[in-house]
Amino acid sequence: MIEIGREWGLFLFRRLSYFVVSLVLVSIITFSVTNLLGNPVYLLVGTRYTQEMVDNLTAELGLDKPIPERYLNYVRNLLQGNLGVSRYSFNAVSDEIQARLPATLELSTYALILGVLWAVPAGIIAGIRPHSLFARFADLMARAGVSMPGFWLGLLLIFVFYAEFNLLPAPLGRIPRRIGAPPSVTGWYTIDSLLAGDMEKLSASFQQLLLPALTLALTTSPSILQITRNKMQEVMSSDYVRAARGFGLPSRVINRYAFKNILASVITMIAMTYGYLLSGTVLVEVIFTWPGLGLYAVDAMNHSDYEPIMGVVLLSAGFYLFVYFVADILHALIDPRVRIQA
Amino acid sequence: MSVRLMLRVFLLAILATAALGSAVYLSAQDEENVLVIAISSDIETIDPPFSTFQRSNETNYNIFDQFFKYATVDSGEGYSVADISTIEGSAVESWEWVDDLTLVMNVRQGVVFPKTGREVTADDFMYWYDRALGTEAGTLWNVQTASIESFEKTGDYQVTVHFSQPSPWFFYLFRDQSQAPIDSIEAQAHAEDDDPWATRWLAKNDVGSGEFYVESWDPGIEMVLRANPDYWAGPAFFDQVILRIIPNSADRALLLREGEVDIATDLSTEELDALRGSEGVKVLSIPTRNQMILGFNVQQEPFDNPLARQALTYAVPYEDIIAGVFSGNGLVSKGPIPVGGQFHDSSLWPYSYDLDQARALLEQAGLADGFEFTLDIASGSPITEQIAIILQDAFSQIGVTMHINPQSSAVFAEQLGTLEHQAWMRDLLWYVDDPGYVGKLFFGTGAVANWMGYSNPELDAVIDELAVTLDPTRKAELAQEYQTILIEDAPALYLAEMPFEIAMREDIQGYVQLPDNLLWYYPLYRDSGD
Repeated sequence: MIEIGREWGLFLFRRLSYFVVSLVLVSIITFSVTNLLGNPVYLLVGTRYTQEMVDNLTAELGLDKPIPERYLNYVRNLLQGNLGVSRYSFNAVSDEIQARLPATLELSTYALILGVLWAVPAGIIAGIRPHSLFARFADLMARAGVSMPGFWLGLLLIFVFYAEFNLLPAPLGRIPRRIGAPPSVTGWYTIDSLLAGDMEKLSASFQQLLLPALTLALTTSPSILQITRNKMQEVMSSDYVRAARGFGLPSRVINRYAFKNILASVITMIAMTYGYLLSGTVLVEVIFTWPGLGLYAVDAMNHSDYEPIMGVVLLSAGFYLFVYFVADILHALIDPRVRIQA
Repeated sequence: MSVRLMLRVFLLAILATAALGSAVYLSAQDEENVLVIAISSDIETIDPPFSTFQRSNETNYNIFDQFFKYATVDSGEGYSVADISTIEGSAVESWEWVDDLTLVMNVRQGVVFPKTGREVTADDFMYWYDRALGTEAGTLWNVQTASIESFEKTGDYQVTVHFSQPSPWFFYLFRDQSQAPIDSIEAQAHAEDDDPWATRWLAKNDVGSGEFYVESWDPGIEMVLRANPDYWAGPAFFDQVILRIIPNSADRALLLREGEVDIATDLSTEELDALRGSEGVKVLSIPTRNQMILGFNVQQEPFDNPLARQALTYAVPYEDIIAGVFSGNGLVSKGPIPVGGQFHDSSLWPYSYDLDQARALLEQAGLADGFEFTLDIASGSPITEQIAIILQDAFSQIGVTMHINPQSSAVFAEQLGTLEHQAWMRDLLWYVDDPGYVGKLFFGTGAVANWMGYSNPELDAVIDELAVTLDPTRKAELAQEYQTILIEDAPALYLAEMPFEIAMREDIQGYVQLPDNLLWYYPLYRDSGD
């Protein structure tokens, strides 16, 4: 028992260390890159300015200080939970992120659910019957999903479902303005609508969510599908499955055992996909006017407003690392060898 | 079996949601007095001194009541244009020149700030002036450029402006979106010790007396403006203007076509062309004084040689640019004053697309074998990129290799300010139609936007005189000299005069083209012709 506790302690310590070191590295890279994008002062003052205005603004933004000093100030503020303020609106970046995070989380989560609901069963079936018609279809879908850029697929879906057949509403954010957002509890419109017992808002939120979530699901799920199919195929041709077959065990039982064996890899891939979704929804958010973190970052980039960019990148990296961290723990729970090797 | 079941549930869920959608989906845009405008990005700030982007400028133009306005005239093409020769009062009702250096402005009485109900008085004008000096931002530049020495309150509804020298550009500058009284009591109530001019609060709270006021602002999603019911000239036709942020231009075009929005801004030439044939949509293409300019750094080789610059002026395929990039809309530039400018004289322009002449000049410049240079452009502007490619090809025919270097907008702007580009290209909108003003801003020695490092004492003298000349005849003479010098020296290439193009639903009427390309909501109305 003590030995297991020690293993877990060591495992968690190592994983947490990676987490922190990675986060520090990300902050250094993000800070350097954004600060190398150029001095935003000239953009802020426009074409009509005096040298005095440029100098004042440079000092006000702290851009007259050396980069290492600026970075240390940034980290100091970061440790106090202060991500800085936008240079235009003067809004605190942390407030803006807090306001937009639920939109991204809701979209990413539904996209993941859609993706997993399709990719895992499809992967299992294709793995069990690799030469079937369905396996070929799943393969085709996976290839198509990988090759199609998300923004293109998004535009296509908008064109078909909104413009041509009017089956779904305009790609204008999370809920039509004539219906209005539900009272905020979680920030997730679907859940908040449910909590408010408002079925019209619930239905409207789902309609707005459907196409962006489907776009993301179709373009991000192929990796889950492929890993599920490959692992399943591998397990199904392994000795112990053949032995089980030889002993006459029913297929249902064999499949269940086989699935348990591929679970660790599938969970890792799902976690990776979720991490990617949380940080990689930018283009889809732009196409569907989805007011999440991606759209916020794009707007900030267009204006060289560095604090929001750094805030979003750091948060996305944090998400990614956190999801990996959780996946590692799940992996270690499923397979004790992982924590011992670590 | 359970896997199959899950698949079925999944597919059924998608179909059910789609079916539900078709059952409840209604067209969103069905209100007569609501104007929905699709914009590409959020409004940066609604504090005028700090507004440098077009989007903020446009919002500020509509929510503040500027000192003056231009009169408008019908162009006969389905829209009106600002008549820059006629100034009308707005927040300032009337005015009188005591002499060339003193102007008495009478504040319009009985006007209230819609958000607080306070009356606009001379104090609000004085606060605006003090704040311009105190914030040391964009408005101060206008104050200084208009040669204003001081503002003096000479009555509850009267302000006297004292000038250090005659100011030919005063009215041009004081119809600008940032020159408008703000509720001084409200603004001061939000001042803080470290922010005496309430810049943080005013960045997102409007205290103007304009035609509209901000009803709500959901950052990244939309801003809703409400018509000021007590506006001195009467409320606008549209009770509500919704500025809907739709970052993807293909979406903006599609939503306009579908009638979901009334006006779509910032569309590409291709999207506008596609919309031209769409039912219920019209595209206005209006000539402007927006020039695409390629500036040379005249302090560096080879552009320190005027012959090299002149040679490239002969190598620009002007007509191809208009045809290829602007689908035939827009005009060929003929000099430093745009063709639509009040002092423009095309007869002074000797250049045309003539490669033999270009080669001859290069030989004269000692550059018969050609040369290489780098053109910096801000990335993300398809029009700039397309023109750069046309030029690259044209210049290669006279042995000049031009490398195109896209940069982030911040780097590009910084290097303009620090004179680091060898050559650059961007559009410049001459919204103040006066060569003296443009000269002071752009061509004068050490001018703030003289990104070419260009200097000619002869031209400086012309600009200095233009800056104090009120007599129109003398101004016209000076404008001739101005054009002659700049055409001869060729510190920049004037590549095209870009049209301002905007797409809207056919029932939107009353469009007025302002010289700064800002969309003015007040004169717009809906008339389906039924």
